[in-house]
Amino acid sequence: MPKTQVTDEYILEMFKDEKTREKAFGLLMDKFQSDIYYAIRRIVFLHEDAKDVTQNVFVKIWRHLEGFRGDSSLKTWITRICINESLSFIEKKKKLLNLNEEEYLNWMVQAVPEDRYFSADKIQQLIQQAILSLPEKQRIVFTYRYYDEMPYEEMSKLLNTSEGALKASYHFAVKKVEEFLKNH
Amino acid sequence: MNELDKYKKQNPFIVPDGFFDALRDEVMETVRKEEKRRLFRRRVAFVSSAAAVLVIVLMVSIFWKPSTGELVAIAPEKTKTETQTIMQIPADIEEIVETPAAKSVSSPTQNRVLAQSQKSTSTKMVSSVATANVEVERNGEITSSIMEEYTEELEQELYCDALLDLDLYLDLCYEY
Repeated sequence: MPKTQVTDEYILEMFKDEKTREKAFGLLMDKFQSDIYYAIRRIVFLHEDAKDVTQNVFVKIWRHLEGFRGDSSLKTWITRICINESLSFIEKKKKLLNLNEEEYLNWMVQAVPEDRYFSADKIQQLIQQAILSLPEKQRIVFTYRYYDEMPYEEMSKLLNTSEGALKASYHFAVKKVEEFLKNH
Repeated sequence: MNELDKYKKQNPFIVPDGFFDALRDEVMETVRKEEKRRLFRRRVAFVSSAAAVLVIVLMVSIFWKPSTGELVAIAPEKTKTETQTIMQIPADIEEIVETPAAKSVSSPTQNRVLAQSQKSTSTKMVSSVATANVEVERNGEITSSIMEEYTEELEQELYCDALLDLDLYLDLCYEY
């Protein structure tokens, strides 16, 4: 069955039965793994880190999908897990490297041109460095709106923040990125 | 924002070849192990619960005393305590016999009479305790005539009280 035709309801129904649970999870992976990976990578930046977090997220989905109540769409529920796991990963990494917030951001900005899994295009590198210099939540708002064109309504449910606050946050993030590009 | 708009559709993140296929295989392997661990934990939990229930049943069967409905560890000491208390009475009463009041009486005969009357009182006290369905020793011997003596004495007392009341009544009648 082509992945575009597999509905969330079908996956959830199959997942409830222990006999078809593994198959249902395979279908879920086919449908969402790319979105999950990039949602994570936009926050953590490095490919190796994104790979680790993605595996963690899938294990979390396996453990908790049975309890999914359908209050939001399946994609929103999964994306929320991605954000939480990514932010948690960053915190652990900061502690491991003994870096504060500013030091960590500077370290990430320095890593961009040296990362073999990032575009060699200078403009793209500058944009990414500008994004990495933003505070974490503002970074999420900017990248999800800028790259994925996520509607504010969906983002509001995802981040539990009002649409007005999100619009203001995105507006300021755009200003900072433009300023960064001008100065570099 | 127009300047930035030019670059938004380009994906700057590079992914190694075959990454997503390899990721799928690794994740499926991980969740299969996770499922095996979950089933194992469930079996262990079931066996542990069953073992705990078995231990409780064994403990209850060893220590439960069906005839009294009590656990063997609790042995009431009440009857023994009551017996001890009752047995103490004669000793206390013996002390009463030896009070200075008894000694102050001049003649030995009067002393003997007084001691005997006090002893009879003490006998009465012991007898009243006997009404609690407990046999009491008097002078080292268990006697079954205590109840008869008590009844007799009680009747005499009641008769005397009644006569006294009658006298008082008659006096009162003469006054009015």
